[in-house]
Amino acid sequence: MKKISFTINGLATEVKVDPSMRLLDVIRDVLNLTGTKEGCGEGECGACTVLVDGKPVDSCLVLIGQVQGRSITTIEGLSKGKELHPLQKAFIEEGAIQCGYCTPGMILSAKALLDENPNPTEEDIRRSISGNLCRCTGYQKIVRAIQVASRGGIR
Amino acid sequence: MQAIEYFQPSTVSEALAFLSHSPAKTKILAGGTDLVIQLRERAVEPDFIVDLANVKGLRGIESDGRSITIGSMVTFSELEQNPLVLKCLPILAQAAASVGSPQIRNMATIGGNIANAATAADSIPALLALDAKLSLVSAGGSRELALEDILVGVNRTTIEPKELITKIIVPIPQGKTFSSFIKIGRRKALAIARLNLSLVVKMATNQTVEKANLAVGAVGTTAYRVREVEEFLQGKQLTDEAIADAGGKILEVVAAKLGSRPTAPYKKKIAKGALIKALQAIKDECGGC
Repeated sequence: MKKISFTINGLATEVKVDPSMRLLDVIRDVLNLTGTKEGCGEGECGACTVLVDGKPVDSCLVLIGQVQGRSITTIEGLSKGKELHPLQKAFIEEGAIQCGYCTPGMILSAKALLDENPNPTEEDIRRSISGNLCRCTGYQKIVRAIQVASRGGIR
Repeated sequence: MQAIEYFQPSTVSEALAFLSHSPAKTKILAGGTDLVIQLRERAVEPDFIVDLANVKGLRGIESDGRSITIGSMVTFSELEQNPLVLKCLPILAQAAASVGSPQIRNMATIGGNIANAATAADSIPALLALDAKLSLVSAGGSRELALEDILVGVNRTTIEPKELITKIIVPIPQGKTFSSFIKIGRRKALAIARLNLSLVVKMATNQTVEKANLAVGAVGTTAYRVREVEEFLQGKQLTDEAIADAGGKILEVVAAKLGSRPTAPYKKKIAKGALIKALQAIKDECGGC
C-alpha cells in the first residue's frame, strides 16, 4: 500500500492503495465515481476514457502510481452544479446517446479536442473519437453533437 | 492483481539501481499500454515494477542538425506532433500517428514499443528504415547499437533485463531523400498492422537510386530490412518496370519468410502492392525520377 496523491475534478485527493491498481478501479471502487465505465479492459473501446492533464487516456491501461501528482478529469467533473457542460447538453439535444455506455468516454475525448481546437473539422472530430466505440448510434449524431457544441451550444 | 512492489525513481541512476537489484523479477513500466494488460492476464508476474513516469532525462526530442535524439519515454502523441520529427522524419511521424488510438498514443512510448518488440509494432519498421540506433544503459555501463541488432524474435530482444533504453538516435536523411510509410490494417483506428512498410530512398543527381532503405513489419517474427530489394533498387531509375520488378522481389522475400503460414498468400500480395504504391508515391513526389 502506498499513498498516491493527485487532483481529481479539481479536488486535491490522496488515496492509500496498491500502486499497481488500475486508475479505472481506483476511480470507480475507491472514489466511487462510477460515471467512468469499464468496457473491454484492454484499450480497444474507450469506455473508460478519462483526461490526465487534459489528455484522454484509457484508465484501464494506466496504473494508479502513474498519475501521482497529475490532474484527472472524469465525466463527473464537467457539470457545474446542476448546469450541464455544453457537450453534455449537445449530446442530449442531438440524440447522440442511446444506451449511454460509451457516452462518458466519448464526451471526454470530445472535450480534449475542443479544449485544444475550438473549431475542428469533421475529420478532426472523427479522429478525436477514433478510440471510442459506440455500438448504438452509428456515430453521425455524436459527430453532430460535437459540432454543435463547438459552435457555441444548442442551435 | 498480485501485490507488487512499485518503485518510482526520479533519475536514470535511481532507476538503474532498482533494476540491478533483481532484474529478472522486475518489469519496467513505460506507458503501460501493453504491460498493464499483460499483468492482468498474468502473462507476466513480476515482483517489482520500476515506473519511469517521473524520470527526468528520458523525455524530449532534440536535434544537432545531423541526427534527432528521442527520449525513450516520448509518447506517440508527442512524436506525431513534433515539428522536428514532422519536418525531418515524416515517416516516423506517420508511423506514430498510426498507433492504436488517441488514448493509447497519449500514454504509449517509443521506448516501450521497441522493448516490447511486437511483430506488428508500428514504429519499428520506420526506425529501421531510418537506420535508428539505441542508447542502452545499465548500472555497469552503457552501449549504443543499431535497432536492427536487438530484434531477435516475437517480443524478444537482446536488451538485457538490467538495461534501460534511454535514447533513440535517428540520423536525419541527407541530400535528395524521399520516404513513404504504409500501414495496412483491418480498420484505420486501433488496428494491429497486417503489414507495416517504411521506405527511404536517396536519389543521385542522375535520377537513379543512390540508396534505398526498406523495412517491413508484421510479415515475420520480427520487423526486418529487405536487403534483396534495397540492392535491386540501387542504381536503377524508378521506371514502371523497375517498380514492378521490385514488387516481385518483395513478394518472394515475404513468401520465404512466412513459409506455409495461413496468412502467407495474403501477406505476400499486400507486401508487393504496398511496395509498388510506396515507390510510385516517391516517384511522383520527386517528379522526373
